[in-house]
Amino acid sequence: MNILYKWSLLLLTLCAQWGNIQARLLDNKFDYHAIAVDPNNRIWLGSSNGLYVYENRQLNGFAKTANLQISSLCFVGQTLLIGTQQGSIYLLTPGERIPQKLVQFGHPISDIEWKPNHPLLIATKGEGYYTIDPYQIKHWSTKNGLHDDFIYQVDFDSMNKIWSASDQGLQIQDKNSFQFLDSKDGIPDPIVTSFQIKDEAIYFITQSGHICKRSIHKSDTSNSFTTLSIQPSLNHILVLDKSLYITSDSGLLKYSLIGQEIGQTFRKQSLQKSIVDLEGNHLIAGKKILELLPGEQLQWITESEQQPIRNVHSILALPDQLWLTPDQGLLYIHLKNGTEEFTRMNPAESMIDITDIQSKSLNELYIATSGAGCFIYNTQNKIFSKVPLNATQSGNTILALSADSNRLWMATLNGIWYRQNLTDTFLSLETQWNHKKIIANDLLLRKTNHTLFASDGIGLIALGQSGLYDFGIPLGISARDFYHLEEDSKGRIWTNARHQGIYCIDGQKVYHFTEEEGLSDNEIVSFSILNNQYVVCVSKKGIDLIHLNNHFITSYPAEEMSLDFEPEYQSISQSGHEVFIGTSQGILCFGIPTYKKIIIPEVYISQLKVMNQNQAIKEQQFEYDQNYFSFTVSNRSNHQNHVFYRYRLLGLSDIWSVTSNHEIIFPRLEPGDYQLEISNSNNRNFHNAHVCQYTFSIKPPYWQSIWFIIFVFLCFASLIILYIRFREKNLNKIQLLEKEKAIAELEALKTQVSPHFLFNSFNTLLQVIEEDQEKALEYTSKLSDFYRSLISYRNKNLVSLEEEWQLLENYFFLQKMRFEDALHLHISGRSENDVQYWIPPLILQLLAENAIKHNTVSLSHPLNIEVSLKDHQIIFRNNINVKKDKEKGEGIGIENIRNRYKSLISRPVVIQNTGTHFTVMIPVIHRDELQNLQFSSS
Amino acid sequence: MKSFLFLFLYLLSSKEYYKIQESNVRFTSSQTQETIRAFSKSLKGVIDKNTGQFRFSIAMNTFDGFNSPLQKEHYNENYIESNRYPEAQFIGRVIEQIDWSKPGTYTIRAKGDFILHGQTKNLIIPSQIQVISEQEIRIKSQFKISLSEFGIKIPRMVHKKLAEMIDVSLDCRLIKTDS
Repeated sequence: MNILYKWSLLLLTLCAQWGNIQARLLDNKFDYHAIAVDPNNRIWLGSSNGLYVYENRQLNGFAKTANLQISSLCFVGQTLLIGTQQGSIYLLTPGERIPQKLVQFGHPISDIEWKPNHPLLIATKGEGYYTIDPYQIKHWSTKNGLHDDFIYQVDFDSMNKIWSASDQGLQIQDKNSFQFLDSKDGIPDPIVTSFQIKDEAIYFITQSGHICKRSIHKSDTSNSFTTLSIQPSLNHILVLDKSLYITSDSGLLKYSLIGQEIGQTFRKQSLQKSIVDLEGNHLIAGKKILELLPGEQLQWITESEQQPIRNVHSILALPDQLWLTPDQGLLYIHLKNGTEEFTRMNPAESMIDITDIQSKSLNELYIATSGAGCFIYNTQNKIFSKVPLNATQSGNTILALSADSNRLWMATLNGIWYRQNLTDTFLSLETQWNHKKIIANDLLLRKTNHTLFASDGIGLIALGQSGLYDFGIPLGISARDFYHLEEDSKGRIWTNARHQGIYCIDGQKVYHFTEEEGLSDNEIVSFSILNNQYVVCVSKKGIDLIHLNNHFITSYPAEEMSLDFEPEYQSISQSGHEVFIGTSQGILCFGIPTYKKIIIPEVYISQLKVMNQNQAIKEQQFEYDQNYFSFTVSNRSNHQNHVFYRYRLLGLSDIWSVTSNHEIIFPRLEPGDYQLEISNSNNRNFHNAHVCQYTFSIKPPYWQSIWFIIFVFLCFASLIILYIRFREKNLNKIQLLEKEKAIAELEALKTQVSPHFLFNSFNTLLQVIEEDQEKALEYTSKLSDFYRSLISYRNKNLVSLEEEWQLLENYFFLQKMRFEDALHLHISGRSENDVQYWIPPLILQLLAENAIKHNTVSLSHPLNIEVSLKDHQIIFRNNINVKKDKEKGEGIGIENIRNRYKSLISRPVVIQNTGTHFTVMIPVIHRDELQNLQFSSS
Repeated sequence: MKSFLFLFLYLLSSKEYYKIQESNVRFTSSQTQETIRAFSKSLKGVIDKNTGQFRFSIAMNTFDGFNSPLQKEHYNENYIESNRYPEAQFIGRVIEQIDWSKPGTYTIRAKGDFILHGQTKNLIIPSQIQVISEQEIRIKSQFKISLSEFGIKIPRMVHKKLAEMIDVSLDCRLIKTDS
């Protein structure tokens, strides 16, 4: 007894280790002065070189803010207000990248505060503070009531009074009246650099390093300033449910709310500010550091390194008390306001292996052991007394017990033993109902007289009016091994089965939760019902909360929480807002902080790659060959590395796929309309999850579109038509030319055989023979030359101009003999170059013949013919002496010339008749033009 | 009438201030390869007796006592840039209340804007005020100035000769002046 007393008096100092809960380093690049969390739980950071946001597990800077020395950040709804050292306030609306300057003050901005339904508060270092509501802006400074204009921080208390920390102590503004807490009131240091109000108390730090606490009511003199500690260079104070967190130039300090220092300094670096995010994580920003701690959701309760708590087999939590059995025996922990007090008891050797602790009444506990039976412990006089058991019958190894003030039921290795009254002897349940032995891990005495047993091997067994029966099989529960039984406030029974998750039995309905539904692990080691709101399930992979109302599952994966723990089977107990979990390393206290919100993280597409090219997510129309899609999805959550995404691509498949990959790939999508739906979850439970949609379409290839087919058809058709028309035109041309040629030949033949011409020529010859025989010879030779030329030209399309000149001269020589001085020919412009020019044959001769044929040729009316070459054309000109009797065949010659030219070249034959003179202008063809002609001279 | 009296008294009393009579300002740069010391006796300044507001200024080119004349030239031309920024100033207020009528030594914090090399920084400088008599006080102070915070860059060549943090000490005697 003496030893026990000694042990119970031994108070051990507490040392909660930061080391057990590790921080995650998010960034260490910049020096951060301000930090804020938006309604989507993204972390925004202000540094001396601009604004940054931590989302999608990486830090993104805002280039346009690089010149801003940001001193404070505040969210008003979704809008971010940025206060700078330069004294300006900027506004950043959601989705924008460039902040808009709102207002410029004369001094640096120290703090911006906003709460719903309150005015906006802006504190400056040198000109007091401003209150801004939709109707007015008010400036508060030494001119209208403040004692000091250098404000470090400003905030509202629960009565809507404005508190501000200044160089002259704390200033409290209640509408238009002011109160001050300064040196006169005994403040240890008037320079208050940071404060926070919580539960009617103000916690603050000062420039000279005091950490102080005081009631917020000034009249409350009984509660004056309490200096909790003095530490150098403090920067910011954060008060949470259980502790104070103070950032300093030498790290993060943690104190209990009554001022006891907890643990060593965390991160011996210069830290500026710490806040909690919406998920309850603790964020710390400072010089080249941004870190995330799991916050107050998880806390280890361990003793000092010399007396560690190991292998906690069983826990009983009563209000402010913890009874637990680590390896060393029975331990009592008194949970005071923020601290713990340890008392070790060393029961008799035989009691070492304690398996279960249950409360019997206010001051008495039942303690079940393995091998030594059952004890009652009186907490008042600290006396153990053994429960009388018939050892041979019941066995001394008790697995679990369930009791109230009168009843005591025990699950032993020798079956179930019970007594209904304190004075009764123990009875064997199996013997009573003639049932085989039940080895139960747990038993549950229900309010409705039903008793349930979680057996090891034969399933759930119930004791009803008619005896023992299998409870699970009629409900369709196939599992045979169960660990623990618990009943919630609505009478639902919860039980965890070996490797098969957890069952909820609600009358005849059974809900089964496994990994498929979102649990971290199918092997639930222990569970407990917290606050009638959650079922806290503990497994090696972490802690899962099943929300009793909607069966939504929130997970705290061990990896995420940097938890390295080995929970003990059925070692769990809850008290108030916390669950105490026995592990092989100590006791883990799990609670949901009051400031924590359950936010459903938003999922969004952060990147879209099509054919490995980045695309704007706005883009919704893609070409047929842009059919390899790769989506990178992200969620706006700070603490989940393991995220599951569920997606489906409507248009391809209606079936949801679940993946933990951030990248979703669709190779070779067919043309069509698609809608991608993605939701996320930190387990596989997608109940209530946010869904992100993206609609897009892939256009069919152009050769399949109707307009393209029509276009191709039209092109083809018009090509055929064009070809036919071209061919027709060519044929017509050839035909025309052939015709003209035939006419020319006919004309020439006419000339050849023209009897008139021959007759005239012979008459002339007769005359010449008589007069001059020499001349007659020449005449005859010229005549024969002329005829030879005529005949040789028959098959030619073109002759050289030189040849044509020759022919014309020959012809003239013949005619000159006949008409003598009545006919004159004048040729001008002849040159050696005439060989280069080409002309259809017999044209000049034809014109000359026409002139002679149609005009009177006499000495009184001589015919003057002038032929000249000028500007690539031959001008043939003669005077008109109209004959009285016209010869037949008029006009045929001229028309023939025109047509022959038309088929050769585009230049026209110009014919002018002035009445006195008849002029024909015939183009000649230069040698270079020959190639362009359809018919070259043969 | 009463408020008028207060105002009158305020105006009257506000003209009571202490003015520097003698002063000695030293700075020391202790670095592995070299220790540089300099001093100046031309600190000017006043403290308002009633409000605790003060204003100190010193001409930067009055510092003397460097290890070599060349060093002084470098100090004036390359680092402090005495031509562009001829003065260092400290303008602010004494946080603590001082009973000027009671002789003794008071530990105070002087808070204000420190202007050096064209840069302004809000600093809190702990100091001692020794009230010798109501007519005479003495101020002693020791503090550190970070060169980089005031935009004074140390070239890599002299990294081992010039310290980033400069120790400054100040000792001055002030005489009460009415005007």
